[in-house]
Amino acid sequence: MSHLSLHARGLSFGYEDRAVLTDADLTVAGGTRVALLGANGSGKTTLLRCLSGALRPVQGEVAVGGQAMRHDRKGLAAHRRLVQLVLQDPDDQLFSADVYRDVSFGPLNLGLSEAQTHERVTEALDLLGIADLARRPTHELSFGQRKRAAIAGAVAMRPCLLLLDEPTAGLDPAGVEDMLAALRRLEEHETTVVLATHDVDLALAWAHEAAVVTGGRVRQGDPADLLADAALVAAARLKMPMVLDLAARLGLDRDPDAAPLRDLDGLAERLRGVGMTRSDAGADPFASGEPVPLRRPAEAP
Amino acid sequence: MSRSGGLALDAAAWGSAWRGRAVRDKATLSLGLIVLAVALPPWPGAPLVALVALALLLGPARVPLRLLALCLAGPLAFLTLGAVSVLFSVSWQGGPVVTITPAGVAMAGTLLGRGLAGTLGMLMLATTTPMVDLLAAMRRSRVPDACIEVAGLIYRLLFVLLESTRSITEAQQARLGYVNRRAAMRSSAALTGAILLRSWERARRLEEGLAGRGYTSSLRTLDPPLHASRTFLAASVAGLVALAATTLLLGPVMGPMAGPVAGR
Repeated sequence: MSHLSLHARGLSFGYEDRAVLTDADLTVAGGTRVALLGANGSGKTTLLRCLSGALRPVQGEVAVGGQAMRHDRKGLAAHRRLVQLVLQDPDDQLFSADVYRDVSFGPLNLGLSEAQTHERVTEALDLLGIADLARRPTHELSFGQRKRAAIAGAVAMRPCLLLLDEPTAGLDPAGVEDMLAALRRLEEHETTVVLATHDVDLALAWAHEAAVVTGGRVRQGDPADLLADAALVAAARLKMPMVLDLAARLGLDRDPDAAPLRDLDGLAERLRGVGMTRSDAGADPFASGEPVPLRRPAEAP
Repeated sequence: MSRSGGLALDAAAWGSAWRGRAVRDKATLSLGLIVLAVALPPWPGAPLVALVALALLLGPARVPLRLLALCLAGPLAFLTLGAVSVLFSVSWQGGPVVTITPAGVAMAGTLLGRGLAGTLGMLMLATTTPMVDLLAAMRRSRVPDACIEVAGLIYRLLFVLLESTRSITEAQQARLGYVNRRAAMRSSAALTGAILLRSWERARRLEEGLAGRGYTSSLRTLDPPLHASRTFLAASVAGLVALAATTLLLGPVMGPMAGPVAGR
């Protein structure tokens, strides 16, 4: 696998009389984590399906590594060697009775030998952390396990770009952590990941770039900038990430030189920077993990 | 979750200690037991075959007793019904007369014994081999791919749709959908319609999901290697021969099956 960039330009697509995408652009540089955000029905899944070749846009083009995708049989086959889409519901992809067989489906379709296929299956299961599930029946897996099995099926194709539709939806916090750990391992194998999500906190913490789909178009940029834009967030029917919201309420969002806020660690760092501390705290007021009554130095007794 | 006989069979097969054994090995043992159940003298052949099958299933194959009982319940009910109908003869002698004859008892015993032994022999394969391994073995036996793929998809979608059926039914029950006969009929009709539509939609989305992984016309997958053992095969054949010999030797010593009872 190697990093390739994807460019979508001027994509338009609609269902019957309803336009979903209108002249939408998206750029995914190789190795960049991109989070696709938007309300239900905003067109995130449609965009992913256009990028994967499952849908043919009425206008615009998708190019990977500079090569425009063709929608004939050969063109789609070539595109799918590079780009894989994993749908939101794993039962839309898992067709075989056990995990091993299901994951082997793609590599066999690539024309690989049985030995090569076995190697791919083993690698994909290891990367997703589900090697122990290889011989388990798919209908006995939990939802999170089925999601990872579905992703393993795509990963076994060794795509350069992996498009994930709501990979963390319906997972408990531990399941989300497992999923993110699996995505990190995929990145180490030079797979660029684009994920669609409603979870603005996850997008802020995880992504290098955010792409917000609203009104059929895509606005792309740094997650900390885009998600701090109250007008955009409202138009996209999202909410501001908790960290950015809290920073704004505490007046900690006005330093243009500070590093962008991504997560609670960043917020804690910024709090220390402005001298907010608890009156009875030692060197690290946040070390105890207990609630911190904040005082600015001037207010301290 | 409560399991019906079919689901119990599936659960037993996936969980069996013999799940990783080659289908050929298990099929040989299973077929051998069925042949002995049918071909040997019913006494003491049928009980011996049944006991050996039971011991193997609960012992080395590690099929849980509860699951085995669930798998056996359906066939046993049919066998009992058949045996009872053979056991009693009804005639009219100025009024209904129910008679049990020694011949009827022997025939019912034979039917029940052979049936039970044969069923346990069949369960030897069915409770240790998931459907997917059987389909793979059928593919290797040159059953057309299209048949195997349709059967495999039906098997997979069965569980998906069962889950949908369960959740829709629960939602209907929560809203008193089965509170009386009329509501139950309406809810059942709605459930059937919803499941039909869902299966259609599911098939469409599944096709799209598979197309992304290079699906054109074949659903070929790689079968994980199963453990073929000549020792197991030889032991199975030797055991079957020993079982037949024991039956034939014990038969004359133990005499005919006891229990002739007659009465009105």
